[in-house]
Amino acid sequence: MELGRSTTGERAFNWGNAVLLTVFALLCVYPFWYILILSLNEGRDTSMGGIYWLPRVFTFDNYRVMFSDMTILNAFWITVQRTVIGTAGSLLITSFVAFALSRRELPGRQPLLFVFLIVMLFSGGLIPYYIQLMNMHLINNFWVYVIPSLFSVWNMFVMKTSFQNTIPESVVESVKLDGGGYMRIYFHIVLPFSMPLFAALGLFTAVGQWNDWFTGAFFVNDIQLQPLPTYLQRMLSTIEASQVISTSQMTTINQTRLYNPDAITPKSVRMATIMITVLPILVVYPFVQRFFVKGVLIGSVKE
Amino acid sequence: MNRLWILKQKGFLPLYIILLPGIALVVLFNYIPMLGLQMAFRDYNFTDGIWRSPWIGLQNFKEFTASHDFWKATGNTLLLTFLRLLFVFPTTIVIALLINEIRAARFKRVIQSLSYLPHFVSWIVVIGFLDAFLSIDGGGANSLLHSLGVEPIAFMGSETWFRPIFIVSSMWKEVGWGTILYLAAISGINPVLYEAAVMDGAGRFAQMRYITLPGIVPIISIVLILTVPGLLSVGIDQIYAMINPANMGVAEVIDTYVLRLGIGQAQYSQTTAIGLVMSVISTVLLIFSNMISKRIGGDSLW
Repeated sequence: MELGRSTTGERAFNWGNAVLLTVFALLCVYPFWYILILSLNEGRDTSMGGIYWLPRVFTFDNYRVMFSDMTILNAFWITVQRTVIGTAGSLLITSFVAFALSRRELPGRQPLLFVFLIVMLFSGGLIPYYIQLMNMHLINNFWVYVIPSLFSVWNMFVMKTSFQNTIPESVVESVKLDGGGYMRIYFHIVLPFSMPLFAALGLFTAVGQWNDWFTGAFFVNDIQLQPLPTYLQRMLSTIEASQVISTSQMTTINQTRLYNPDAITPKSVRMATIMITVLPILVVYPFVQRFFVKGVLIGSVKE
Repeated sequence: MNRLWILKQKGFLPLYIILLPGIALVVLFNYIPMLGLQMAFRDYNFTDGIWRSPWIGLQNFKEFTASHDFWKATGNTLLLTFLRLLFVFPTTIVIALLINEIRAARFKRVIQSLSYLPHFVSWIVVIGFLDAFLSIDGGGANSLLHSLGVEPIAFMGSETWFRPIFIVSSMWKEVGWGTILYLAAISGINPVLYEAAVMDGAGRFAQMRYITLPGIVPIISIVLILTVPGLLSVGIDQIYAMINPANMGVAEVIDTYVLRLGIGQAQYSQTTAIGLVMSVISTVLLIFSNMISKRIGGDSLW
């Protein structure tokens, strides 16, 4: 593109651009760093302010307090379970539908497609949905996290388009000639051919499951069944965080003093809780980001 | 003779069987709630349920359209979604153009990776960040103000600061991620165009202005048009975590209003009526904007 000569103006532009975008990228990650250093700083010291780059009074106490709270650990476990079961189930059921509807020879395909198209365009809204959950006894039930999200109409249409575009018809025909049925085609051709697609959509589904606090906050009252983000949401009202501190003080009162309870503040415990909520995403992100990018591009093709 | 037998013979039966769970799920969680929309025209009570509660015509619609709070929430919603569009949309395009100008491939990749990250955390976590940074007890923003000799500001509980915080947090979370589509479109521009431009003596700015930007105009229009149906919904996640009694006046939007009135105060019929109106409007907008975007896509440059 360039012919090897770069003018002074061009060099200035390159440098300015690099600086600007570096600042932009640092702004994108600074909040994560900020929470990390606050979570590793003594709570009372944090409340005096002035911490921007590194912890001032380094401590693991905030994490100790957090991990001594059974509710948080339980919430973490609930989140892990719903993410794994929800993602696996959703990929399976959604891809089944997508595969069936990707077969143009299927009798009744057009009306079936229409059934799913309506769902994409129109919804009953929050309250009728809530009443339906009540009627199905899914309120206050772990399965409310999983069952309603087992099928995603958006992912289904993305998958259907992708199957139609990427699975060679000749291969399908040869399986049929060998006497193989549609299930064989699904498991032996569609699945292996579509692994990047499954990875991308699976990751989006998993992130959605991991981050969802709404379901836990409005459809589940039982604290023992609430996932981590819902827990964090309640914790952002100060009362909750001080409860964590007082219960953990009670549990450690007869043990060796692990930490100085006066130095823990609701805010410092909150920082630690935010960290464990985002940590799994931060850890996995570098390895899977290329799938995300691929995923959003596959998704946008249909538009 | 028997139709089922024929389908089985052709091997279609497994396809219908694997369709069943998906159909069951949309019936249970999409179609039955749609039937529940009739609550909007009834005076819903728990014992009579959706099918037997008395019909009251348009009473629910009259009630919510007469409510001052509803119109306030509608105004707030439109203002916030408009502000978000105004700030996030152009910033995304500018950042995408700038990222495209980076020549060092590795540096470019690092910038992209870091800027996508905020998209993957939940709004609750974002609010946690804001709360940490903006709080009065030792938040970074207030310590900075303090060192400048300014009185501490309760940012999170302030009507004045709500909109700026809303806009900045929206930008932080979505600008980086939003660049993906534009960068993909840019990479589809024919390199010959740039070569020709260089021959004609076009500098970097001229190339950006006369080749890159026109090259992504179709995708810009499509993205813009597809945001129109979303103008009635701010996204419950973002607002619900930020809203509190102190900023309610500017932060209450239709989504939170429905939530408070519906699940909070069990005003099922009235909130269903609101939901129905919103759903009809956004469906119409969606079909409309889809049509326009298809037309644009049709005579686009590629």
